[in-house]
Amino acid sequence: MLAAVTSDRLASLAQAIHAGALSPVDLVEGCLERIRQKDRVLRAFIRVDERTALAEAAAREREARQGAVRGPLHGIPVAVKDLFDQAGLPTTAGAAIRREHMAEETATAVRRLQDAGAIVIGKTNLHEFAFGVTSVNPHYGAVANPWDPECIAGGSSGGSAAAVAAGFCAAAMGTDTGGSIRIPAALCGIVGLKPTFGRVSRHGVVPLAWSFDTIGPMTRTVADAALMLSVLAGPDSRDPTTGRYGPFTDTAIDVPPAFRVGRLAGAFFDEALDGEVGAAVDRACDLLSRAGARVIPVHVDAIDAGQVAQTTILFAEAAAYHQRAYPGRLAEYGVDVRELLAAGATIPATAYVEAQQVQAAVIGQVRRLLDDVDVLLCPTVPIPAPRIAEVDPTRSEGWRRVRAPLSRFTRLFNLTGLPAVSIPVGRTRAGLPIGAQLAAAPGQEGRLLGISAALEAAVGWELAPLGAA
Amino acid sequence: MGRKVVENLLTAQGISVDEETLAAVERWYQAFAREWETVRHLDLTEVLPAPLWCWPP
Repeated sequence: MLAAVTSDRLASLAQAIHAGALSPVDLVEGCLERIRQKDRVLRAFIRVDERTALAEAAAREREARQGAVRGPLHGIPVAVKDLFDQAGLPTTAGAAIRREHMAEETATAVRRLQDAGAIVIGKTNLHEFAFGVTSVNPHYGAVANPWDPECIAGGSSGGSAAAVAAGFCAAAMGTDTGGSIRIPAALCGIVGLKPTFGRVSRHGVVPLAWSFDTIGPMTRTVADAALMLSVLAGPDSRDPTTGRYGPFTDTAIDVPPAFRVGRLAGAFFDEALDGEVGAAVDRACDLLSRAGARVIPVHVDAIDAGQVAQTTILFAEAAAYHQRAYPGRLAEYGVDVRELLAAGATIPATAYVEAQQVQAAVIGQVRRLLDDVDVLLCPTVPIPAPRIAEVDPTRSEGWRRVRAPLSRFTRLFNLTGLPAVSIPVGRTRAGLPIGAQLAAAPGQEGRLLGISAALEAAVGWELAPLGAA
Repeated sequence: MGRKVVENLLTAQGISVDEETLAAVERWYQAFAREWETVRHLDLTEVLPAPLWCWPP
């Protein structure tokens, strides 16, 4: 096994804090200063807790001086999508109707970050109720892409992606039901990991669709994602979907000396693919070949039916949750989410059950593919980030045109529950990031991240250092 | 599914929407029905729903 050469930023930061070479107060101050300077444009945060963050940073600094390090994220500033509860703070879910909501408990995932020493500096903006892929939010503003503020950051975890890419925090938390971690990660040029369904507790997180909702990290590097997952993963008695997988310990990021990559192919993956995105992913495959991979084309026969099935289950579950949680209040939602929730309520029960049969058929097909390859690969998003003005539901109908393409390649891995990661593999001529998506068998995040690290190293993608102005 | 059917379905569940949303949901449902044809062509005779045997993964 070869150790991948990756920039292990979170671990380096934590090590420097532990050694007394880096002050958590300085680190948090730097993040807050960047937020003050740039977040008026990016709108990545719904809430920033300067005073609490600085007080916690001072406490972590004192603890580090005394050698009382809480865990691998001691003193590290992180941001959390405003879908996660933090006791004593509102969880808006990006919705106007939850402005006054107050959380009584802290979500398990956030508590695990805090127990590991992380400092939560604020709650990030998102697509309303996480039901969308643009993060153009009618109540809290459209999250802008740090690479071009005229363009979307993607969604629904757009604020978390923009915050990491802009250096507002060292890492962030997202949720993913149809691509909501991976899509914004790809459009903002960062790493976004959707772990295996059931690997990370969802307790204390506002649901979108129970069958697919997954919690995961959004980071600057693959190694950072592995470190975050090691803190987050593991059973939680308050989320019955956890328990199948134990803690994640593969933070060493070992790249297998030889591995097989199944490049997802066929009309579904080739049609409507932007030329620059396709070329960047072709190049990524070449780089993987040079790094020891055997790349072979693979097909999922039932992919089209799988897409409809994923829509059916997601929309029906979202409609069911919202009907019970906020009855009679659809008029208070943004135009797009209002429409999608009403649409979900028209899905027949028979279609929901048939969709679950299709889900089983697709899972069977994909598992057979994974008997022959270590990972599956495709672009994360088939198009570069669209412009905000073109997809703002209050200004145009464009959101309807981009909704399906933006999540076209990500939803397969929610339907199948496989761990999937988006990593940056290039930029368009206009300078917008392009992501490649890799997925592995259930519970195989170690293998997935090892191969992703090989690709990351080969591509040589680097965000500006966190300390840079 | 026509406008009246969509409206009745929503009303039966206590959901009231404006005219514009109703029209959009009708269009959405028609598109959904077209896409559902891909499911109709799949042989699901022997397939149990995923939550009964392979979900969570």
